[in-house]
Amino acid sequence: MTTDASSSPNELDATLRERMVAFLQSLNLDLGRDLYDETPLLGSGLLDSLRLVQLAAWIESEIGHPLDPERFDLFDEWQTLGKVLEFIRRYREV
Amino acid sequence: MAAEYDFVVYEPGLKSLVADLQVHLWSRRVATNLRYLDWKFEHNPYLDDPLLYLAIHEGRAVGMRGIFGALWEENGRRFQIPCASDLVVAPEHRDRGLHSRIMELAFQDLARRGFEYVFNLSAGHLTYLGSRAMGWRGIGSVAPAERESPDPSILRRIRRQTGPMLGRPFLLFDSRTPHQRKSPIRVSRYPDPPAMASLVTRLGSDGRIRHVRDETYFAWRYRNPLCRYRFLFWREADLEGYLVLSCRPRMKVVSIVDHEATDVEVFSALLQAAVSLGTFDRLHIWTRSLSPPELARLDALGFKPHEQPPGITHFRRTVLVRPVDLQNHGSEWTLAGRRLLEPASWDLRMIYADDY
Repeated sequence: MTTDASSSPNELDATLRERMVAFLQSLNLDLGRDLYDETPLLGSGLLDSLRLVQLAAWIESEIGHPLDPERFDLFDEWQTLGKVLEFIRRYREV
Repeated sequence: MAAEYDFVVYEPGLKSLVADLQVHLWSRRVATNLRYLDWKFEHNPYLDDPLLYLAIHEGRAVGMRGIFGALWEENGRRFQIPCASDLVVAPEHRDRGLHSRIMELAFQDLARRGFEYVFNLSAGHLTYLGSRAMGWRGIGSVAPAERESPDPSILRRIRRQTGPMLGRPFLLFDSRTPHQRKSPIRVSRYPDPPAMASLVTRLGSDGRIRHVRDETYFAWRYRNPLCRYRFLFWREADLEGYLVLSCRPRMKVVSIVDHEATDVEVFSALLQAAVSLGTFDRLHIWTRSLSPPELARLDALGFKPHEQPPGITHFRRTVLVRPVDLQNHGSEWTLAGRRLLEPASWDLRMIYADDY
């Protein structure tokens, strides 16, 4: 993951969102043509266990440090694309 | 997808379909799978009906989740809380969301039967993450520890002499167990359910959550046809302690799946006997619920913590808990007032997990 130190928070968010959309598209999930913050991930039933591991690895790499899965409610916090983005932003600061 | 699959609760007429599907999980031999199915679900002492939830496609079972009966106790009060296990989807039907659809059916049926919670003590990494995505929560690591044989050169020599024993760790163990007249420790291939249950009753409980270990449990639990067991007993006038070893055929790891003792010296002697008689490549135990003196004895014998590195992509064995009706359940997950997600609430043994 690379970030530009001179980028504004909004620009960073936009880049993160683009990376996440690109990542989800690389999983070949049938999530629809356009992805929104409300696009369901866990609720979609499309993320099988293997893809969930891939998503977890991607989130962890974006955050930049190991995550302890017992310390957060994955069911709630990864429900939608927007919630995952919010999760990444929050845990980057931990 | 709805048109392709039927999601159904098991009935006896589907038995052979389940055994066929389980070649992907239990054994490549269908006959072995039928024996396992009989043992775990048909002869389960806590549930009359086998709770198996299936995805059927073109007359074949292509996905399944088993929920087996279990009886837990907290401070002497008993609770029927079944355990999820045996999740399998046929390879050509993976990536289609069958796991979540099967679990929807399972949770509906478990709610209808009046269960408040369901546990899972045997989830692997994929099942763990998939379950977390469905609202299960873990209690934290079971704190595995392992002892590797400290002298590989001796092991290598033994292996050369005993090639056929490879993958059969109890062969060496069995050949080395001539009973010493003065030792109170005896080794058996069979449990002693009355004596073991009597010891558990005599020792009592500190109130933490644990599986009921009575005569019925011991008589049923150690008939698992997929595992091999050896029992070390310390006998005087009564049984003063026991330690149970388990391994699966063709696996190198031997596990200490259950133990009880009237004091830590008896525990230590049983442990020492298991180590010295077995010369096992790897001897494994969960240490989450052990007392400091017990942990010290493990340390003295060379057991080391066997944790994976931190991170969500590294598997850590845990106990998974979920209210059956998650949406209508409160935020406090408790059993008789004891918090289920608190590791200190549990008195764990590996034998409570169905993969030993």
